[in-house]
Amino acid sequence: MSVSHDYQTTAKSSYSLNGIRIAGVVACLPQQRFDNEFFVDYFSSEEILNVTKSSGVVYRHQVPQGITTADLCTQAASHLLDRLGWHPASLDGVVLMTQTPNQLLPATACRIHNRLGLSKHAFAFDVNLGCSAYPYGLWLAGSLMSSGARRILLLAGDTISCILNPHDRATALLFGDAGSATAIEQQGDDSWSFLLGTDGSGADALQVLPGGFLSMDGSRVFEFTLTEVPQLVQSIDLLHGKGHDHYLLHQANHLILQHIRRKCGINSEKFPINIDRFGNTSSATLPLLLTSNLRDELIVNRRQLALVGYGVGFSWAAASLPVGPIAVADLIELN
Amino acid sequence: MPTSEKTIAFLVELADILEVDPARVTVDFSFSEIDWDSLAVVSSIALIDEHFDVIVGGQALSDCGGVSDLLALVADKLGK
Repeated sequence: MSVSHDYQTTAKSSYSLNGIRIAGVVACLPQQRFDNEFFVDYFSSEEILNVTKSSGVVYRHQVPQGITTADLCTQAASHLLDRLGWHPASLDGVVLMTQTPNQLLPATACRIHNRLGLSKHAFAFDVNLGCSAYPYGLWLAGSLMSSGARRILLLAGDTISCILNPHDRATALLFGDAGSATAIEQQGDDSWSFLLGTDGSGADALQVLPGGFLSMDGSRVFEFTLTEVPQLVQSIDLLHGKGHDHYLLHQANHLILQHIRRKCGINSEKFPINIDRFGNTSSATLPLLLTSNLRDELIVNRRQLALVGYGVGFSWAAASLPVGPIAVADLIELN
Repeated sequence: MPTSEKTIAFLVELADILEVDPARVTVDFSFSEIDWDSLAVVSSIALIDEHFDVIVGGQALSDCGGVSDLLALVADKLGK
């Protein structure tokens, strides 16, 4: 395994990792699914139509009271370990990417560690990232492997519905809940490349103040996205040296996604969109794309994927990596 | 100021976003006649980027009183 860091390849910081692979991925949805009609008590039909025309959300799954991010991620992880035949004791650690932990402390990953029955030698910690979390998590897991870890469970999930103001039309209709688990192991000689970035001047454009709800300055987030993300997509192509088989972008908003796709000149077949079915699920949108839109393909084929996350922070990350054929790419519902 | 051909094509699509008869959306069109809200603004940011290849700020766009202000904002961006 080798790790390199090169500031010269593109205008952004780039990183590469070798000798790791995704063995399987599972996403887990709450059973409760709501269509747009559900919100008529809070908004007029015209408001709902206007908001959803832009966002593209038709359905979203949301947790009932008492169900947590840990519940969604633990079930995804249990299903994944079972299907892969991985014994919990064989894991070196678990990393949870979330902005909706079960509580302020301890780290939710520690509770999940206990529920999964991992070894006392295994590390477990949370990382507070949202829309950009999944490619960051892949980079972090791969980097931990460069220091000796052999098997890591990367969890990415959020229950954003718990921090939504039901009267805020900018957010109430947009977000859904989901958890995920990705099994990463040291094996083979695949190469993963990453671009990472942050603009902390946008920190208050998407935030939750203590005791408050999620607030979003939609036009600032939109402006940031259109400024940074097309460049990021083009840069990850440049870093890889050619185009990708599929471009999986964080499912932020349908209007944004279509605009980025057209601006980058990407064919719609290479650019899956599922925000209509799940809403914006924050850290879980990319695993949801892997397990719904790309499942059948990744089970039998090897594909070079660009995974691109961007949003709250402002934070962004893009990963270029081969995935497949993988043993597990399941989308399940919480029992 | 953007070229007139580009501007005409842009205004046709802007009318579609604003759900207004395209014949009404000229340089004299005032946003006080419509609901120039955050959704209209973000859609317009994308449309401006698509037609003129510049990103205008959401607040600056939100402050525009009408099409003439919007086009002046685009021209200012293009001139920078």
